[in-house]
Amino acid sequence: MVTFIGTLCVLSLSIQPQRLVALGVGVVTGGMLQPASQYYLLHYAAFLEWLSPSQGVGFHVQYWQRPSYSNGPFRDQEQGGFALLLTRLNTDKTYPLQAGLGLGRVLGSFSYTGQPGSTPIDIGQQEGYSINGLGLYASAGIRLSPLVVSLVHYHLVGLVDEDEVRARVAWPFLFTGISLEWEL
Amino acid sequence: MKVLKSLRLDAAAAAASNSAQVLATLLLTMCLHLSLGQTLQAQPRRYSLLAATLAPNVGGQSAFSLLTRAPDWELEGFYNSYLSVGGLGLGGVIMSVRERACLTQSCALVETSVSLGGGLATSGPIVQLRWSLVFLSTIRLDVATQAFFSRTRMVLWSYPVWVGVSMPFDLPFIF
Repeated sequence: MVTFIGTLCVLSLSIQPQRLVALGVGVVTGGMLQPASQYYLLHYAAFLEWLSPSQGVGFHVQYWQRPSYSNGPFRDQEQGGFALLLTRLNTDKTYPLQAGLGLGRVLGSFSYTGQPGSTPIDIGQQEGYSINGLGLYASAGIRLSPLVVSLVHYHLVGLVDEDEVRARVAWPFLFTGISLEWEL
Repeated sequence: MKVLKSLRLDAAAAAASNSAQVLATLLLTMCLHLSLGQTLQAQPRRYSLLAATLAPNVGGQSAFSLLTRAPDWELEGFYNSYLSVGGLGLGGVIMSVRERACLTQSCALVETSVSLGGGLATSGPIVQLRWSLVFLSTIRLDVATQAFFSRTRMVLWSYPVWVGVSMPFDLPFIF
């Protein structure tokens, strides 16, 4: 019985038709750099990816977050995401290269928590901000089916308002990390 | 506050003036490109020379880049006067490998590419990742991330927008 089921599995895999869409889910962790700081911060992310193997194009949707950090009496936190059109740059199945172009967003908040040395008190004065802009993505990976391990880089060109764009101000966020993707 | 507002408006006016100049240059180059099309089409378009400037970031940084590119590689020299090393602007040379993705078979209408390269800057070794969009083989928009390596740390720097013109030409004796 086991042999029969095993044979069926092998046969079904070997005669599986070409998939129209390849789905993948994954996680990313690495460093990020935001425009208000020259410190590298940890970030972690999760993503969902659709790619047409025949056309080499698809979508990549990602959500990221970084831990909250305290500096003196202040605490800040950020999260955001990317929605990208994805394209395959090569046809090598073992070492895939991909690039993406689309939109990105950052949502941030900071709050006053009290003087250092004293018991932190969240007095509820929390301010938030959002920055939208152009999102770019590039990845270079190695496929160990069904796992793909990649070095990834996201670049958000954050734009706040028309005045700042006219004054040639942008708010870039850079993310570099290792991604682990499971292809479904 | 009023001074800041005034400074910001001055910066915006200067940016608008610069934008008009850039636009005029782009249009002129396109016209030249189209008028010379017959002549250029007779020759193989193996390489392009690109002159690029960028604007947005920290109130406008002045940076320039000159590239020569083939389908699968790029050689670039750049200069950024906003970043300084020893009192001088940061400059460098980068050699990149390039992967293209085209909307059409010939890449004539829109060509997108990603290039990854390494080289030497006046601050030390440099690595660059560059996304590129070229319209009609002439107008080029890029976004790039550069990583500078010094003795004590790595500095990541963002170039949110490079705008440039791309002109096809041949260098038969050099490459």
